[in-house]
Amino acid sequence: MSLELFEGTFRLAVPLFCIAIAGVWLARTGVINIALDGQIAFCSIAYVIGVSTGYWFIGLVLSFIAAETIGAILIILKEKYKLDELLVGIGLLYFCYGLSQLMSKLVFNNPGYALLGKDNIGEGLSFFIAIVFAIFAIIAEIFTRKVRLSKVIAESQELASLQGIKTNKLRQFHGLVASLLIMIASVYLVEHGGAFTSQVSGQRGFLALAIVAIVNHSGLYAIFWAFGFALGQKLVYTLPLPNELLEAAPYIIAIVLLILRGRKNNFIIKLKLLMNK
Amino acid sequence: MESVFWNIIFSSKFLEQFIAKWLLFTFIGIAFLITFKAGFINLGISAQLIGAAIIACYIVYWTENIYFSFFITLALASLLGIIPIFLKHYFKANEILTTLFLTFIAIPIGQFIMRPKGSELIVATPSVPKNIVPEILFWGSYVSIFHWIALLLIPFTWVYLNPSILGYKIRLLRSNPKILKNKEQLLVLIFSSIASSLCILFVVFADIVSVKGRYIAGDYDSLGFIGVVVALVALEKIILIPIAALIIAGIEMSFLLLKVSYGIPQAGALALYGIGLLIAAFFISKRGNSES
Repeated sequence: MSLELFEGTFRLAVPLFCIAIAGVWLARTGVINIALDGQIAFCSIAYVIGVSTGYWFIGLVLSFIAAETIGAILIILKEKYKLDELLVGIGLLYFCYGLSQLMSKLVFNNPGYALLGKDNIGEGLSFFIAIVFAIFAIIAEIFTRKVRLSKVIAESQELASLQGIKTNKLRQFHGLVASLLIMIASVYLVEHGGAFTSQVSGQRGFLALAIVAIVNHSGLYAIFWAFGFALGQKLVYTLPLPNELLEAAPYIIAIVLLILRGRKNNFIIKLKLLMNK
Repeated sequence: MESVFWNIIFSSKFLEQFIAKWLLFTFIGIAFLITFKAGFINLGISAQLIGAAIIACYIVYWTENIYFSFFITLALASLLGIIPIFLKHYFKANEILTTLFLTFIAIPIGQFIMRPKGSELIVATPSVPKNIVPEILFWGSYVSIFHWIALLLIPFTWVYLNPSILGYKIRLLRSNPKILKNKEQLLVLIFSSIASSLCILFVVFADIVSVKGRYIAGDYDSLGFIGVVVALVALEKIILIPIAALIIAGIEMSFLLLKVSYGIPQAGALALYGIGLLIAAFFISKRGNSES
């Protein structure tokens, strides 16, 4: 693997696995966040607005508040009002897309585009923080009993309460970690591009959702899949294909992965049935 | 600026465009609702629409036969709707993701097919010959007779979804799918997808082939998502679809006006749709919870 390919893969994979781990952490407590992509757009504009004040930490705080607000709305509407999370997710997705563009118009007088101020944390540092955060999340997932047990909530709420797991508190904690990861992924994406655009997420939120569907509640697997995905995408980019077809490539790869995962599951079910016989 | 605003509002073209949008949203809302009632969330209506529009325009352009184009367009729209159904049924691939990704695939591939040739500046299909669509089909310059068929689709879909056996099975598929046999589940979904493709077919022939005469890339990329908003704001009730479509068309046109007159971005409409969906989710989930 050439150094250029490795670097490109790494750059593509880092925001993707941060978002995917955020999705996995929420999925472990039974929350599927369809609005991930919109949340990234919302966090990105919040960061750019914060940085425009001249203090990068205001950007980070605003971005975190943006991520946490959307995450909290999703969890509260699901938990307290028992609303369908898919419908709420689609609603929040639209809301975030629209609001982020409106905010860029109101603050920077340019809908869907806002240049990042000079007092930012820099691409390198945001890249480093993203990796550190992701590693911490994985360590917590593997070595912390409570986080390990959270998987039970996704399987069955009744079983979780029988085992004495405090669903609400754990869900809120997972939501907090997910928001942190989304915030840092958004900051990295803005730093990488040097500006907020309406396409800042590059639909990574949806690709991350595909990874969440594939990895079965494991953040570590999410990292592997994100790398595999990014490598596949990078390799496709080396092919002499027209730009439009290259644009479609990540989604074709994602559909193929979803099919393969389904095939694997079918195979395991058949194997279990055979063994039972 | 204000005079521009009022001049546009009281122009007949504005009214025509408003009616065209209302009917278009009605079609798309119905298209989403039919499969949604069967528990299949199809976010790939835009993909079906793009594929159908491109093939329709090219076939009419090459063969100058509108009826032949009808069948091929319906077949392609149905095929694009059935692919995620098969993926869900046989590979358990999540339909929200597969349909969404189909849209993201269809947009660039469509652009690739329609790459500008020679002196062309825009990414679009060739223009359909004007003599193909008779003048008599038009009411004004934005609404064709095909648009009004949307209103006939409402009673048709109501019968299809409610008193018919198929409608019963569709509802069963969502509430208790295990009662239906595996093959029956697949068949019900395929029928729903074909019925939903019928709505897409009318959109293609009403708005693209008849009125605009060509498909321009980017024009309908987000229409599928508006269909979701219309169907959910109508609280999944077919009778309420025209009212929901009227509200959404009103919001869309208002933001278009605000953009032209005051420079307010149209994205504001998206944020409003989001809030509308959250309110609709509240009512739909409440109903679902009390039913269960």
